[in-house]
Amino acid sequence: MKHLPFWFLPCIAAAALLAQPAWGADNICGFRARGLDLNFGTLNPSVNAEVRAPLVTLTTFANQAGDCSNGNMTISVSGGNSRQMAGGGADGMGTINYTIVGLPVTLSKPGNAPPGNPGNGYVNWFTTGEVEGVVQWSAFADAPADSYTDSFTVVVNP
Amino acid sequence: MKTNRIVLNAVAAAVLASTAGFVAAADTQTVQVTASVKQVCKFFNAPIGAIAFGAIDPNVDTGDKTATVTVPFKCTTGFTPTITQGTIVPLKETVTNTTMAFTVDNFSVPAGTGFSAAVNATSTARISNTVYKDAVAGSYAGSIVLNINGGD
Repeated sequence: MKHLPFWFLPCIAAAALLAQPAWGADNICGFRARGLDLNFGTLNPSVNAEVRAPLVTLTTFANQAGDCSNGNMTISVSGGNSRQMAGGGADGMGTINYTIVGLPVTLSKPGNAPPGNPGNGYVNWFTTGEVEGVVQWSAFADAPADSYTDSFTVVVNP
Repeated sequence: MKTNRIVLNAVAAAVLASTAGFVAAADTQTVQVTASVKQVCKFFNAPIGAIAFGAIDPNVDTGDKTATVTVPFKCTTGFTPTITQGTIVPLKETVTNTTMAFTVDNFSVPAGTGFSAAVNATSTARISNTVYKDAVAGSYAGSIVLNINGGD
């Protein structure tokens, strides 16, 4: 067997590093949420009605290093769909409960990207549809006038 | 040369492991959520109930003839509105069209507790003795316009 010389070892180590995709953590079978902010706008407690806010359009993607060729992926809200916004005003006391609807959702994987697609890594897009936030009137009927915020994590598995 | 072969194998294993790690990864997105609650007030069950002075007896009654005014309203929690008076139409007797003026004191107004339940603003309506002591006997009716700030 013919062996490589010692001086070639650093070249192989460098090749191992270059094998990492240029787009790093994006190089998976995953999704992107477009229109990320969920904004309920101004809640008027004198109008007795629930308020629905379009959340995001979830769009799955795959690229050549991610395994999107078989099975399903599930997109869900980490910690569950029942959420709570907190007031940020001087009193700091108010909270408003709300719910995420449309998740979890199970989707067929869109298939892997063809090779030779370096750089952006986003291919095989398809849209899952709108996900909404819903706040019931009873949740803000007695809330102090204030600005309320929250954040949550949407996760796809596997 | 044997040493070289072992090192090369280790490097190759590292390349495979780095690629496999992406296959098993999950993706996450953080979503920001915002809302604001409006500062708003509404009279509850408008029009509110009548201000009833009841029967006035110029021979017996002294001083102002008074009636309690109760105005239910709802406001965003913690907000204290101001209730102001608009046009006052004096009490008018329906046959002779003679009138009696009346006034309403400034309202005592509590803070709102939200829109689940109403709270009451209160005041006192008055007819001066100098007004009713020479009044014509009969039934009288008038009105007053009230305003609450914070309406939308």
